[in-house]
Amino acid sequence: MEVKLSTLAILMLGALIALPYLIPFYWMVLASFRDAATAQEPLLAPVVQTVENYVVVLNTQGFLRWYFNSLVISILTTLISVTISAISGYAFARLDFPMRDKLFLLLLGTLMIPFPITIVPNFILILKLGWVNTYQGIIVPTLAYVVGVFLMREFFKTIPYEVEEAAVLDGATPWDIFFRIMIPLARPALSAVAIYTFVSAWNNFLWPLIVAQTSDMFTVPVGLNFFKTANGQAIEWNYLMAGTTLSIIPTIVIYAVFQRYFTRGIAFTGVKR
Amino acid sequence: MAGTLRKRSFFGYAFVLPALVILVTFVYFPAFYSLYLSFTDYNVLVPTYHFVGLSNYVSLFHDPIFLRSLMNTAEYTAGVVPTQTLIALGLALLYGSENRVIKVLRGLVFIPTITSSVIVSLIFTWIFSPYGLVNSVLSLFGVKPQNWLLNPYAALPAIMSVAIWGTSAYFMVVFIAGLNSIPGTLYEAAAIDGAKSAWKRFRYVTLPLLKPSLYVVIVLGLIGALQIFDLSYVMTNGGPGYSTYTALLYIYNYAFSYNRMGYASAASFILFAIIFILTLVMRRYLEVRRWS
Repeated sequence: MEVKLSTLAILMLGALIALPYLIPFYWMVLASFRDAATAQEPLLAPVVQTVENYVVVLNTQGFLRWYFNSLVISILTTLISVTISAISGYAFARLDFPMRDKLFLLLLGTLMIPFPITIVPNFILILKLGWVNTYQGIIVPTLAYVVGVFLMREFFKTIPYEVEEAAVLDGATPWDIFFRIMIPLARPALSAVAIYTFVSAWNNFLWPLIVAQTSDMFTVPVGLNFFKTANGQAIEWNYLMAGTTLSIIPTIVIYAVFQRYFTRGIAFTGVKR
Repeated sequence: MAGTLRKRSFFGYAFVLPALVILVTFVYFPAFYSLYLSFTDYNVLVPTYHFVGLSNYVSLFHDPIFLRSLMNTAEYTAGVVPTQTLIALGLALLYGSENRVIKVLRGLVFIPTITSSVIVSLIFTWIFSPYGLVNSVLSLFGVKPQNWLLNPYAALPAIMSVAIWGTSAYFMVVFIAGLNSIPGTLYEAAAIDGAKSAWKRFRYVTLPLLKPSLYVVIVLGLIGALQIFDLSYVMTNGGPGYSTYTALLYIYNYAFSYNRMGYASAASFILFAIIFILTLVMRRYLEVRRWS
């Protein structure tokens, strides 16, 4: 009985502590269904007053274009970045070639270089390439995800060598082994990297803010920030909250479906250091 | 076998090439180029530029706004990192068990960390607005409404609290992984040795063994906090006055609003030096020696 009581206490405390993490989202969704006059009221009852805000946001604010841009950028970034992580992680874990470990250290060394010192030269680079205000300008500099390579390398190391030895004797190239044997085995690790990459790309702000110069190239975060300040001081909360609610849908859906991969990826980088 | 070996080498290089090309082009080259630019008066709108020696660095240390931005960044980091570390540890102890309800709650608490910092900033701009949630809660206790984000003393702490709200659950996951890696037998041994209370077990078993996780949380926290940009850009744009102006906001404005890219590069190198030194200091104090 005592044990059950303490479990109950922990559950109640857990529910209580979770509230401050959820109330801001609760309010955001409710405000998005209110008209301008009542959207700012703090203690909203869960009532759908109007769906007008969504209609306005979807029709007139360039919002769909930003959403489309964000989807294109996030999906392309994820596909390319996961491929790069998988092949280099595999090579660093399983293939022997001169300088392999030195090259891996070169790769890890980039973790020592903080993003702020690269933004100015990268912008100049993008400018010289003619990539300002383009998808490739936003995507290409972010494609090599070092933690992803590291994660894939650690994963491939755990696969027993017997698995590929038989294939090597049959004359399979590393290419065959990689696609026929390794990739199917690596699905959990690939999912973790893919999900993390997608969410990072979807939420990225500073780099798209620098590269995207006109509204038609904005991503959702850049566009919503622009939308906030577009009307001077008077922020139209009802429209803005409809926009933010729509914009978190992809990450929330992915999170709901693949939750365990999120925590696995973080836990991995945290423990294996 | 020599042929096979050469073939394997070829595949090895081919497979690591894309990652290395991108990292060399967009991380290593920019880092060195940025150092070079920091000694010039490079301006993207002016076709020629000159070598100016250390004068960018000298000007920066004489610019009260730059010094203010460094102080704000330091204050922000000093407030955010210890607080988020403690909260993350608390959350990990509370949400670390495998109880089904607890796991659901853990999943919900994690939602802020997968949400864009711009969205978080927008929601909290409302929460701290004159008619927002903070004022309505405080009015229940008779506190007069404040305009938190327009108050030079309150704006930075407000942004700090948002940052802590947004990142603590991320670091919770690191701590949970650390907690799960502690063998249960150690607790049994400690109990036999006289560590009867929960506090003693925490103090003498959990805490020492959590040191690797603590190192990760503090170092990642420091690196992230020193690069604070999104929240102050969206919520206050550095204001009111310069009270929430941060180092990266300064770099961004000089590079992309005033086009003074040489000068901005010098500022970014100062920020880099601070991050680098603090990381080394933390490594010295916190990193555990591996005995395997």
